[in-house]
Amino acid sequence: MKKIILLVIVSFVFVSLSAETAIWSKGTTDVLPQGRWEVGIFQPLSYGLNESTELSTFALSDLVMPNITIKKFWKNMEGWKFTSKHSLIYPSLFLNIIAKEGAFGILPDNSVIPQILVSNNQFMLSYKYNDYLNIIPKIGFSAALVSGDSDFPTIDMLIVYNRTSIYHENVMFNIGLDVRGNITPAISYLVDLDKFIMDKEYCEFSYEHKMLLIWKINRKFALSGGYKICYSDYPSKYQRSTDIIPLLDFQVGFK
Amino acid sequence: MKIRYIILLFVITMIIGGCDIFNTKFDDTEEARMYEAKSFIPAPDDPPSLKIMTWNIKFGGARIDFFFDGWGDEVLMDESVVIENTQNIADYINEVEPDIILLQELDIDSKRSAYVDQLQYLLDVTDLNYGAYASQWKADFVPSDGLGRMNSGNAIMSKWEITDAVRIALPLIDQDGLTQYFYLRRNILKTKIQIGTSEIQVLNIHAAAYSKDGTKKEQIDIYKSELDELDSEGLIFVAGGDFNAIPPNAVNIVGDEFPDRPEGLSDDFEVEDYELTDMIDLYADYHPDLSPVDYIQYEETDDYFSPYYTHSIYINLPYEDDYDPEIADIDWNRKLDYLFTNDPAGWITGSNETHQDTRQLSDHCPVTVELEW
Repeated sequence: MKKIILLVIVSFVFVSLSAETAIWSKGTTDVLPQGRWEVGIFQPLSYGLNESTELSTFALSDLVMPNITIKKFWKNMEGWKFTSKHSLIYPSLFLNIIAKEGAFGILPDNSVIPQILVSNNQFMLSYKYNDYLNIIPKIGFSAALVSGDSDFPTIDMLIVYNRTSIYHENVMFNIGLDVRGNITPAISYLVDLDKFIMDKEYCEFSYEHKMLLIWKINRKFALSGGYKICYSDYPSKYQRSTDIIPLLDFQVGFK
Repeated sequence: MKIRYIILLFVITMIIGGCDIFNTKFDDTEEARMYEAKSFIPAPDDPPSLKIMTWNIKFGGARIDFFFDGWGDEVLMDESVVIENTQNIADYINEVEPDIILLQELDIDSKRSAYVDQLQYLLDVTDLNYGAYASQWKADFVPSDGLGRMNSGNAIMSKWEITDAVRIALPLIDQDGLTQYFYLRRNILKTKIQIGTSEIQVLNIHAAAYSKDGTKKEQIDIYKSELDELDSEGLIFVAGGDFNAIPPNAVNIVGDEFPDRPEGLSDDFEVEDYELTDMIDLYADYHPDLSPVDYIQYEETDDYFSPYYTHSIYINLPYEDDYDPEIADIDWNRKLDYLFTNDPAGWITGSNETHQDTRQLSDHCPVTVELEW
């Protein structure tokens, strides 16, 4: 078993048939150039481990919700690039913290939180028609290993509900399509649509659509703004509605 | 350069457009949500009298020890519990057979009550055919105490069609911005009900509790001015609700003297000192369900017992299994729920009832009174 795990790690880090790197490449099939760091207010701290592998973590949340993501560029096949992303998240500590009385008590104080380990896996292809248009179909799944007594409610909130429902349902699938490209050399756009497929009688799916404009000011700074529209099933029949939220982020990069 | 300004404008628009993302706010005046029962039960066009009920049903929470009671830790109920409790309320309504009901603290879409639409449920299992609802506490998500989604408010149920219903916003308690954004937004639910060829105006209020800044009095005064306006137009009304205020001739006035706080209880929900002036104008100008003379006879003879008290704490009663003689027992302890009319004949004498046999159903009991029609 140890040999298999070692083989997987080695292949993720060192095996690559080609390399595709780019700065400010969050959400694309490209990875960061080796040695480059990038971080945003709402984006993870990312590091280019080598020319085909990127590591990232939401550093501020690591103390309460340890998480790590490895993004691997695998292959460029006649213009189609193939990349996968794999995350491990341990949310139990955080869920215990937000199970409290008073302000920011997201869960009831009497919640029983089990040990939960979430594995999120995303597989992306991208095809570049020209500088102005890339299409990126993607598919993925999340699975949760749950151990111990569990008695806490779902968090019926936009964006959060679909991502945390696996703490109760153990598995969720997603499928989506990104369209992105450059408007000018410094400004790019992203339009995406994702569908999350859950395993609940009353909450079978949710959709999210996002539009972002990304201003790559220089190698050190980038600014992005846009909106996200969420449409989801919830346990409440009245909540099956559309919500729109603004998106704004400021990112810095080094090297 | 121009594209940068476009981006900035785009971002600002998105941020402004994203305000009230938890959907907690209301217009000053807006239409109430209208309901109908699944099947209609015919109501007479010319009833000899109207039996009116007001009841704060505590969202079907019955006597579960909730965290906000101060001595419990429950936050959310299972659907089966909510259905059972709401059915018990419906059974009592069916027993009393009111023609029009004013309800407070009724949930239609709250996580704490398993998203059961209690107004639709009650309409479907009682003789009442029509409903109007005005939300008092609404948020897509309340990030406090594990409450989550909330939609709770006031409702009016009627055997006859409700032809008009508006929600009139009342002033908010003075709180910090974040708390106020997610907190209760009191209102008046004002409806018009068509009974045969006649009309009656029915108004419902649930005034502020724990108000120490005069907001509750302001809310009651606004309610009174709505009634005055109807009265000046010569329209007949019945109006009531949970005023969170005591009668103008009450003996127990100061919060500390009310026997409703077990020792060591958190101060979060400290009872305010009640003002005898809160209800004085309503009593002066309109007919209350209970005359001050009837009310005072029991308070004067027995400080902490009256068959007219409508609110109870219900803790450690001697006939309960877990009775502890070391703890003071607390039961019905004040009158907070009222009905008024401007009908010149007033209520039918002796028709008022304070239904204290509903102790297991809510922390308030229903009050009924009849109007000759």
